Amino acid sequence: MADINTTRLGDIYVRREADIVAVRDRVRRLARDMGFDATTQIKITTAVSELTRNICEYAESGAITLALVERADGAVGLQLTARDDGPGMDEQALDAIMHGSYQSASGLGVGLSGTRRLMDEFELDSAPGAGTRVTVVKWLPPAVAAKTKERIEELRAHFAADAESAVEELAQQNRDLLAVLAELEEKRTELERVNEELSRTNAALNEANARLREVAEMKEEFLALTTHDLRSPLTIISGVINFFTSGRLGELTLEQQHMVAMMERNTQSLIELVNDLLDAAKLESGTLQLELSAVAIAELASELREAMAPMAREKEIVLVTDLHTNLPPVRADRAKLRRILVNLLSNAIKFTPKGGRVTLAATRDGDERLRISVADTGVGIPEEDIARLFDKYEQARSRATRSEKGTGLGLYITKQLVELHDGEINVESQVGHGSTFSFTLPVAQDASAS
Amino acid sequence: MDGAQRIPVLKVGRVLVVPIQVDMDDQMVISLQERILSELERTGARGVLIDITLLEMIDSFIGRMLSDIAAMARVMDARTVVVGMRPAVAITLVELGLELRGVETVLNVDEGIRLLRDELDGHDDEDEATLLGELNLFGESFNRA
Repeated sequence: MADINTTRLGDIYVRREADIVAVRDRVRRLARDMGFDATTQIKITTAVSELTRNICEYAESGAITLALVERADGAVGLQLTARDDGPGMDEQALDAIMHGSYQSASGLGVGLSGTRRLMDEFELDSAPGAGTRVTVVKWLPPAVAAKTKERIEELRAHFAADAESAVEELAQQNRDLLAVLAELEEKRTELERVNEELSRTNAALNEANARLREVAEMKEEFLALTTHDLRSPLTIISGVINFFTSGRLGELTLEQQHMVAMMERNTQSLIELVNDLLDAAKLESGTLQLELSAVAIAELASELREAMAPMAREKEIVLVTDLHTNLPPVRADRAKLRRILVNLLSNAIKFTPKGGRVTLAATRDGDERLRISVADTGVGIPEEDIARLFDKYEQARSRATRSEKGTGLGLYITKQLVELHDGEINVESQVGHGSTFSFTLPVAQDASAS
Repeated sequence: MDGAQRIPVLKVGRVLVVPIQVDMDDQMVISLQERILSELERTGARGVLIDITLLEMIDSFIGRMLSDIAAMARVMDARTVVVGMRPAVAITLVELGLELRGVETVLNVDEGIRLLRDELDGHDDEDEATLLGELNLFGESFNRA
């Protein structure tokens, strides 16, 4: 085909079997654009389908080159060249194929010989190890040829646009991939940044935490030290007062007695305050240890009755103990339990007007526990205050009770002590009718059996 | 998605109707062949009607597939009819040197159904009449579409 003028339109690459459909489609459209009739379009399409399948079957990948050819005599045609770098064929195989005696695995052994029949020109170039190249041409009818020749640029553009769409698709995929990569990189950087920020924040937090701990330690240390240092002079003052009241320093005048009594009262409350602070500090640092033993409630109750009697008498308040019979002993730290009850009782007396009544009661609460309660007929606690009742220094903050003396540490310490005993403290209160504080304690195990 | 799923295999009475409406790559061809055979086994259909009205090209591979389906269906006691081949496709087939061995071809779905009805007439199933009715109905609607 030396005297032929060839205008290459482009290549279609064949990489996998599914490409056959695309090749058929594009070749069919090109054939239609060139002006081939419907039947010839189908012939060309079928031929290219055979050639493409051969590429897939024998070489895995290759390309179909499409070109417009023009013969010296003015004939115009479509040229298809299928080439691959497959194993190629020797002459014997070529011969068998071209004469239709070859049996292929996929078709009916008519691929190449059939293609030759479908097309006008057929040229096969193959050698073992050198790949295969098949060139076929279909000529247009002379009536159409001239017109097609004029449209050669248009056809080329058409086909290129077609090809571009394939290339464009690949490019788009590439761009998408790059975008995804960029996004990933961005995410990674962002992650790194966040991570760094996090570790910075973490370090700052750790530092703040350490400082806080330090401050808390300092506060506790300060509390412990000051209370301790406060207690020593208070003990001395208290001792000196005892000297006065014991009469060992001679009789006091009535006025002196009165003043010493005032000193004694105030020193006592100062001692209580210091003790509260010391206990609160101990509770907070967790250094408070319970000395648990079996404690008989009845005994403790009568002791408390005696201790609280002067305070009650002063306010003309009736102290009642209401204990169920046969109560088992509870497992508690006797001194701490006494402290709890003293706190609750003195609070009750403090907030109950003259002529009122304070009741210390104990009942069984199931098999394992006792419920101990202190009820008064006092002013009661508004509901909104109950939740804050056990907060530290609550009384100091609350205006309603400002007039009463105390640090407000009492209930805080009481609650902490009850909880140390694995108990829970509850309040029921009605404004104007009084309050009831109650808590439970476990029954001493060795006693519960008896 | 498996491309071959786009080609329906419909059971109408005792006939499998397979309208091929898209260009198939080889993988689709192979998987369609498998589906037709498994449907034959599952449904016990006695005929396969493959409509290629919309198929624009039959190359050696698709040609062999049609031949193979016919041969395999025959082994499974079913008759295969290919309908709607375009003249241009027929010309190409002949020039290519392909003969669809064992495949009966008829011009349109009506003819195909008539051919398969003859096949079914040979059996005296009690619901034969209903089946044929369905088949005719399908043929009509198919042609109208």
